[in-house]
Amino acid sequence: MRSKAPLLLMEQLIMVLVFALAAAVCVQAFVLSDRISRRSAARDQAVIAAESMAEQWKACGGDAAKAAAAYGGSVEQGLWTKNYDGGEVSLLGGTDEGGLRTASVDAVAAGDTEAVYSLTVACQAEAES
Amino acid sequence: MRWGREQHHIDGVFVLLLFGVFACCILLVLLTGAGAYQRLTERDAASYERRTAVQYVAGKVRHADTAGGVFVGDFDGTPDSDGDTLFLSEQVDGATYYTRIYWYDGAIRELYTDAEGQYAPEDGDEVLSARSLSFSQSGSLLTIGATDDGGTRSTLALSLRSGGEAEP
Repeated sequence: MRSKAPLLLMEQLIMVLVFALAAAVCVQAFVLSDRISRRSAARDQAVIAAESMAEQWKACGGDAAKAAAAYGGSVEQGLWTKNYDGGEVSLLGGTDEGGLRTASVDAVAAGDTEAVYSLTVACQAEAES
Repeated sequence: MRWGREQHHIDGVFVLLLFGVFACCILLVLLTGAGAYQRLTERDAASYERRTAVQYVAGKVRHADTAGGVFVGDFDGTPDSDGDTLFLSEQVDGATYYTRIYWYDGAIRELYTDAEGQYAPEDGDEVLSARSLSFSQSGSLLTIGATDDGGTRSTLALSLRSGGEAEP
């Protein structure tokens, strides 16, 4: 009587092959979900940091230099930059139009080069004295 | 004859060995998946806790941001720019009512009462579990600081739309 072992071996080899493919897809999904979750956590921090910077800028009547002096950070060529727990947030003052001063706020997470969160903010420009 | 029997024996062992490797791999992938899921839920929970406290206060402030409607003080109602309680005041039928937001006994609490009565911190309703909550006000800028149960501190600045130093 012939042994059934070679048949079993072939069957198991095919099973392992299919499993390896499925496992590769699963691990890829785990890595992707981990990356999305990290990005989401970084964005949460960035939103709070960007909102705070925008509000501080508004409280100073849209004057980045004044805001930097009061709440920290540095200003270079109209760009106000500050660090927060998860990276760096910067505000660039834009133009005054119809009494409205606009600025854009970008938050870049540590180790990243692109902004994880951006915000456009506007406030009533203080009258020139 | 004997050689053939040994060959069959080795084939059987090899099949068993392969099955063992297969079972180990399944276990490994399952454990990796469980670990990844645990990390995700922990990170999401931490993010939720971190942002909820300050965003809750921000929402309340935005809702009550009228001239003199928002100020920081001690629980008894004495204004103090570094006090431990945030007051949101409103007029109802000519009477002043305060919504106090403060931290007491491991939780952020809210208490809505008339301005005249005497109340204790434990009278407020628990809103959110947290380790601390602090406020400071400078001109039209209100700064809220909250530490969640995990010990992570979040700070949010709010520029009061009603402007200027609020008065009780």
